[in-house]
Amino acid sequence: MSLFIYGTATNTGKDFFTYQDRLDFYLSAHPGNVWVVGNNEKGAVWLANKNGITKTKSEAQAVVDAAITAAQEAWDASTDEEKLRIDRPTDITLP
Amino acid sequence: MTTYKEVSGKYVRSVSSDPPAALGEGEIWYNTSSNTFKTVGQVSAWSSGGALPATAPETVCTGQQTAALSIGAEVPSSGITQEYNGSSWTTGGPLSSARYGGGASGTQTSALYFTGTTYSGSFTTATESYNGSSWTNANAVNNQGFMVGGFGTQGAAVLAGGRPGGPGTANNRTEDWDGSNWTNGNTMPNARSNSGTAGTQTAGMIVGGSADSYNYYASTLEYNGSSWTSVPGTISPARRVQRGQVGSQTSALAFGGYSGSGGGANAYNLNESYDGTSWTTAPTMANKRSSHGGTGASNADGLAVGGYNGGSQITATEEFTIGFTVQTVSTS
Repeated sequence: MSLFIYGTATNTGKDFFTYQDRLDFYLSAHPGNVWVVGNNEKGAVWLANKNGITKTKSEAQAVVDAAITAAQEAWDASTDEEKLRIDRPTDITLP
Repeated sequence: MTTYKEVSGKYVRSVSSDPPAALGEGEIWYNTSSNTFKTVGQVSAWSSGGALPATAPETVCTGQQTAALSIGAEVPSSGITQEYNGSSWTTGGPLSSARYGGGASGTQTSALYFTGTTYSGSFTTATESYNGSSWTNANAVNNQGFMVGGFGTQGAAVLAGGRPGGPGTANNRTEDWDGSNWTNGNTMPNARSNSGTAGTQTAGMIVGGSADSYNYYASTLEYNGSSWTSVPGTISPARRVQRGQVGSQTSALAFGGYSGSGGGANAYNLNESYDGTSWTTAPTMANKRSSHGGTGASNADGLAVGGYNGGSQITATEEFTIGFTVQTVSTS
C-alpha cells in the first residue's frame, strides 16, 4: 500500500487543516495546490471533505511541474534586480 | 521498585472512559474499556490560519498569533499593513513611506517599523510608529538597511544587521531606539541579514540569516542592551528564517526559510524550538516557505505568514500551537 494519497485542493484558510488533522495523518502542501496526505482513513476523509481531486503520484507530480515551470518562466522574464532578490525556482519531487 | 503512588501521591484509577485531555495532564489511568493504561501528553502541530487577502512576500511581522501585524511586502507596492485576529486578516493603515524589507518591533496596536527599500529601489532611513490604525513618522535610523533584524517594543527597539545596499553583503551594525531617537550600538560578532529575531531590547536575540547570497548562518546571538554574545544553540541547516520576532530569549521559534546557492530556491518547512539553551526539532509546517513573515509570543505560539512555497507566492498562513492529547502508555 502506498504511504501517501495525492490530490489537489484549494486552501480555504482558517482550519482548512486543523491541529488534530496534523496529528492524525501526514500532510504537506506543494505548488499547484497539490497535497500529499498520509494514506489512512482520516487522511482520505480529509481530502474528500476538502473537495479534493485525487491524483496518482505521477499526475500530482505533473501539476507541481507545471506550476514550477510557470514560476521559472516568470522568473526568467523578471528584471536583473528582481533576480538578485529571489533565486530561480527549482524542481520539486513529491515524496 | 518505585510505585506510581509513591511518585504522584495517588493510586492509578480505573475508568471506563478517558477524561478530557486537559484534565488528565500529568496523570496515568487505566481504561477498563480498552484495557490500556492512558496518560496525557503535550503535542504540538501547525494548523492552517486565515489566508492573507493578497500575497505578501518579504513582509515582516510583529505581535502574536492572535494579534499579529504584517508590515510591508515586496508585492503589492503600497506599503501595505495587514492585521490578524487569529482568524482573519484585515487591512490596516498603509505606511506613510511605502516600502518593504524594514525591521519591526512591538505589538499589533503599538508597533515600530524602520528603514527598508522603496519600490523605486531607493533605500530609506525612515522610521514610523503604528497605533493600531495609522502610521506616524518618527526620527530616522542612522544607517539605511534592507532585510534588517528588529526586536523589542515600540518604545525600546533594536535594529540589527541588514544589507546596506540591497542584494549583496550584509553588515553587523546595531542601533538602539529609545522611543525618540536611534543610537548606534556595539556591532554584532558577524554581519547578517534575513535573521529571525526575538525578545526585548535588553534581552534579545537573532538566529540564522545570511552574510550574502551564498553563505548562511546557523548560529544564535544574544543581545543584553549593549553588547552581543555568541551562544551555543544552532539551527539546522544554516539558513534564512522567518522575518519577524517570535518569542523571547528563552522561548523562541525558527521556521521555514531558505538556503539558496545562487541558483535554486530551496525553501524549507522545518521548524525548530528554542528553550534558551538549544534548538530542537519541532513539527514541520505543511507548506515550505521562504521570504515569509513570522511572529509569536513564545515557542508555543507561532504564526507563519505568506512567502514563497518554492514556486509561487502564497497567501496561506499557519499557526503553531501546543495541545494536550490522550495517549496510550506503551511498554515497548
